[in-house]
Amino acid sequence: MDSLSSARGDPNAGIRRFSLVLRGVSTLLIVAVPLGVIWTWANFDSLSAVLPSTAGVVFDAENITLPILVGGGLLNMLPGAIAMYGFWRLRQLFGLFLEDRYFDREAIQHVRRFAATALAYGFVAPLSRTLIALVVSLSNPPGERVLLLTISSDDLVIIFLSAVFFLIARVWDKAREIDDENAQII
Amino acid sequence: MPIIVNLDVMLARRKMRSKELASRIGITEANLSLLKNGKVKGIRFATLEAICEALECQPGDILVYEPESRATE
Repeated sequence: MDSLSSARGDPNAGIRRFSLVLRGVSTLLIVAVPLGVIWTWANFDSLSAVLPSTAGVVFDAENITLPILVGGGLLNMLPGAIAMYGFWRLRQLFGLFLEDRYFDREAIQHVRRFAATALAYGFVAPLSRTLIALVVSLSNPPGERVLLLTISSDDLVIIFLSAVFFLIARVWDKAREIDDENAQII
Repeated sequence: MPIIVNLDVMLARRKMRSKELASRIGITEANLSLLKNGKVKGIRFATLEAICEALECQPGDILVYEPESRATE
């Protein structure tokens, strides 16, 4: 009841609550991405179960050495680092929403950067998979090493969403101009 | 801008301070100062109504149109 009445009194209370939750999720994702990569490459059994099905890589698990694991993990971190940067931008954006700064230049900049990050992720993720397949199959005998390029529907969706976010940022900038003008009307 | 805000004149005629007017019409002194100096893009009807009520005047007493050429002379 209290939260309902406060929401009625303050029209931005709902946005602030939602932003707080999303900022927490963003923070969690920033931490989870590198931990997930480390966990995957440290637990080679799970990796060997995942890799052949997702990237079509056939490799001999016994020939995978520590440098290959480290190299694969680092290559896996390429899109991971991009995703972390994107989540960090979102975290900053939700922080601005918590201060009721919706039509701030800074907020629009965060959306633009997030869109650019998503675009980069859409291109780097397939490249990363290509390099991982090559590194993991390096221990295979000549003729059985793999060079593959896979573009999944997820990659295409991410690229499409980045374009949507670029457009939203432009429309948002128009809204900011209107807000600036409105502030000059007493 | 060819619209001149004569709020200072009306305040002097009514012997009212900016601070009092600001509190009566419910805007900040900073915004009232911007309005007095013509540094705003517009004025809401609600604000204009409150000013007219507080100063017992007409909108024409506060806002005057002067063409650019005359204003720059």
